[in-house]
Amino acid sequence: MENLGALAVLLAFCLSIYAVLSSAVGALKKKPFLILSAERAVYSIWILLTLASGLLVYSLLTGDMRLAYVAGRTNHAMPTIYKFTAWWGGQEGSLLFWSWILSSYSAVVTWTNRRKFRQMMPWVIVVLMSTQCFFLILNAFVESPFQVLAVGKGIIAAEDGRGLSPLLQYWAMAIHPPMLYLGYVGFVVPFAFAMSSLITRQPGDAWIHTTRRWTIVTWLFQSCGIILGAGWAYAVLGWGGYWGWDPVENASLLPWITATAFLHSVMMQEKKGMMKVWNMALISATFLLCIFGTFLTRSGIVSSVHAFGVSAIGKYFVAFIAIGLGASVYLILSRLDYLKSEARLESVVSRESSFLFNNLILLASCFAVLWGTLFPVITEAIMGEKVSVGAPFFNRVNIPIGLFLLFLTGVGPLIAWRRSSLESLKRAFLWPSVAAVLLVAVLIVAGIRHFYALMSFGLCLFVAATIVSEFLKGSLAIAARNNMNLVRAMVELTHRNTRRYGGYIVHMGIVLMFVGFTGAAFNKDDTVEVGTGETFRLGKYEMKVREIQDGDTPNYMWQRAVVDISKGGEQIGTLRPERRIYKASQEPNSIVGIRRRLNEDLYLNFASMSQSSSDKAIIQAFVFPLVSWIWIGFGVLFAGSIICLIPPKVRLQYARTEVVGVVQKHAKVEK
Amino acid sequence: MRRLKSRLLLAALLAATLAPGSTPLQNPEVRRIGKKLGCQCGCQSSLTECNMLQCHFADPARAELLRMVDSGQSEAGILKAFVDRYGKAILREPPTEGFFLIGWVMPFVATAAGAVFLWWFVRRKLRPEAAAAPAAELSSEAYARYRDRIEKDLAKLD
Amino acid sequence: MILIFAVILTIGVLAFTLLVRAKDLPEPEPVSPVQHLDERKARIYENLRDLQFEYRVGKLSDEDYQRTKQDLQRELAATLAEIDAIVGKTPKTATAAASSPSQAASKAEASFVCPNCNARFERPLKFCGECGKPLQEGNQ
Repeated sequence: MENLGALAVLLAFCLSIYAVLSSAVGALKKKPFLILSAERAVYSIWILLTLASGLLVYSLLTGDMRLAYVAGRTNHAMPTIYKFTAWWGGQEGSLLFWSWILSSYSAVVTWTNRRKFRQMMPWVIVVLMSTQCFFLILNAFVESPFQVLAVGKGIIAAEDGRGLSPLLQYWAMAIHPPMLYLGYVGFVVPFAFAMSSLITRQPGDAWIHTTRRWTIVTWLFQSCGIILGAGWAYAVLGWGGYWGWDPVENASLLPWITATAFLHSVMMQEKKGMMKVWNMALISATFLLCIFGTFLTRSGIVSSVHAFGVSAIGKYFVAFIAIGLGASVYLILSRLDYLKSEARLESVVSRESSFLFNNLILLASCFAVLWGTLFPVITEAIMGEKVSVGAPFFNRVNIPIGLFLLFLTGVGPLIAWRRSSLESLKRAFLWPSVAAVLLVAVLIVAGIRHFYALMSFGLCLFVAATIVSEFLKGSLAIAARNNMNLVRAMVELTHRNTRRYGGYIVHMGIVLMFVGFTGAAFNKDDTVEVGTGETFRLGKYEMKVREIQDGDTPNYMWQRAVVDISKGGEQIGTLRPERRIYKASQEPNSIVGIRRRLNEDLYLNFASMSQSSSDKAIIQAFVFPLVSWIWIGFGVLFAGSIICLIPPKVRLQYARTEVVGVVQKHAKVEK
Repeated sequence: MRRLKSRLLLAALLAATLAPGSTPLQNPEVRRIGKKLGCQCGCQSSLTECNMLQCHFADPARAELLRMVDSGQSEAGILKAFVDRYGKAILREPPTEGFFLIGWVMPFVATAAGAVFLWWFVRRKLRPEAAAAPAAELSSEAYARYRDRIEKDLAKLD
Repeated sequence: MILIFAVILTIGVLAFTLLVRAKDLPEPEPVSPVQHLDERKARIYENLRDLQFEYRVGKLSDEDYQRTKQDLQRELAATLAEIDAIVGKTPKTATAAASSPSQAASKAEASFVCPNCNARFERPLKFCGECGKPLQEGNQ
């Protein structure tokens, strides 16, 4: 079985090399047979990797403890779903998962474009398969998931496995890695199209048109992955944070930021044919940061809770990133003439320059995060002394940057393309600014003195007001012209330009998330030692420990505090924070009790039993205001992204018809 | 009987694994200062927030921190004592002195450099010859010829 | 057993990859020689539509609107001129272009015209990429 899996991976590796060579030669010598053969190789690789993954999953599900990977990540008592997710629960398996997703993407791209872009496609395959080849080297020779436990020459089977890390036995963790990988890997495709359009010097922006949807979908996957990770940290790690600026978290954020910058600046190219070099640079940076993120997570160069541990694969990644960086920089520099801008800036006050600003600020935050993540490595190399760069640093640097971005989110969409006179700016910004200032004044009167919180709430209202006014003005105009009611007009408006109005909805989601982030300024917490029947208070809440239970399941043992919550003398609910010890791994884990409400979450963590008296429990209680708005905001962001993907109602067909003479054809048909 | 035995076993296990370590956290001052000190067990979180059970680092460190707070030492003194013992890496942010200042300043320097570049770029792009603008090459006579067609198309728009 | 399966797998995959027959080659979709200009044209039309809408909504001052519209129209005209230069017809003689193929062919080399819908292609095709009707051989 494991031999078959290893053979499949090895065959896939050979085929990926073949695909690169035959595709490149086929493109250079114009041999369609070679190109088609390379495309066939892409499908074959997908089949082989699906087979290999299937075999691995089968071994995981049936508990084939002869395999080191299976014994290391599962145990017999684990629920089946987590046995399946153990596929990406460890280093070797998740690398195979990476490869498999990449091969699936490649197969989809090759199939959907089998008749299109005959010049570009061979090179797209070259880029995709080079990446594939790199990961297959890791799968086949460095981190093979099909290694068996062996003593001397005999194969042994472990009695039972060590089980998946308890932290990962949680629903969000089951889907978080696939989402993130779908996002990470997905950016290979726009990158491949970008590079091949450079290689073949395609006229126009075909690579952008073809990969537009792809980029949004990939970005959405990445966003989902990041937010699921945050939700997981909030509910599992037990200290109530959703974002700890951990190196691995940062690694997932970096390509997301550059991708966001790309999604904005690509509009300049689509609208005006500007910023071509910059977009190439951004898409390459995004791709390389995706690989870099994988590298940070896998190599153990920076320590992290999420990391897979120290491993020898670091140098392979460094080599691959260096080659990728060198190749993309060379391609861009050697084709600067082809990337010449088609237009100029008409005015400083224009949508164009607001996009430039937005890109600057996004990249600044990207740099700050990257810098902070790598600074310990740098100081250790230069000064020989280790320092830590933890959450306080990142918060201090990124909060002002984030607020400025929020401000731009409000300003940008109101400035017209090409030029905006002061008069129209005044008209657009008057009411949102008045509303924001009023809100800040009210909040100050209400007793809030936290500077950033005031800024953030003010800006949130400002941005929300600008978005609402965009929707209102647009739909009022449509309603008046087409005799519709306002709601239908709003749907019509969105349908006419789904990307723009979907984008506004995404912005609204971001605003709501910022509201949620700002709530962190007002967190309250307490740690108490309480016995059964005792009560303690936090904020408005009064908590009474009813009893402490314990129990046993095949997979873990648990101990649970049952806490009754009351507010103002009235009981409002019961929370059951729990501690578990997983038997296979002997690792503990906490399942916190959360009472989620729109205004604030009450969050209880059963930290431990007391030192002094054995019947008392130590309970950490937190109140997190507004946290729910992060998840709600994400929901809005998700919906907005989906709207962006809907094809707009107005299709600009007339542009094509004129040229190739279909106008006459249509005229004939009409007669 | 058997059930009782398994319960006893469970209790023993839980007591062992759920050993204390969070007790000093009842002191709000310990929680506050603990947030400025990083746990060195590899969890990347602060002393206050490290949630590992029987953490080999956080548990004794918290007890130590509680002792210092109880004995009335100032926050600066406590932080210094920790730095002396564990090195600068115990602090969760790089110190604001010497070489480490680069860590703090760099993001802002980079942003400023980016802003300067942007300023230069915008200036350059504002010049009329910045683009290979095809519009400029078109004579007004040729433009007039296309104008009708455009106007007609525009009427069809919307 | 495993060995047999492994051999079958290897041979199967290699055969699928390497044995490419002539009839498997895909027929590429026709590419218009002015496609990138079409794209630019579509883009400018879109910009104009946007501009009109934003003006109606009241986001733009009159002056901004007029100037931007002027710019866009000039760009559009330039693009149209470029397209016409490649396709080889002027707006006044749009319908005449089909009836005088020699003139068109001289300007746009190797352009093949569909007798049914007058669509032009840069290389000979079996079927018209626009209307799908067969293109007779020798019809140029």
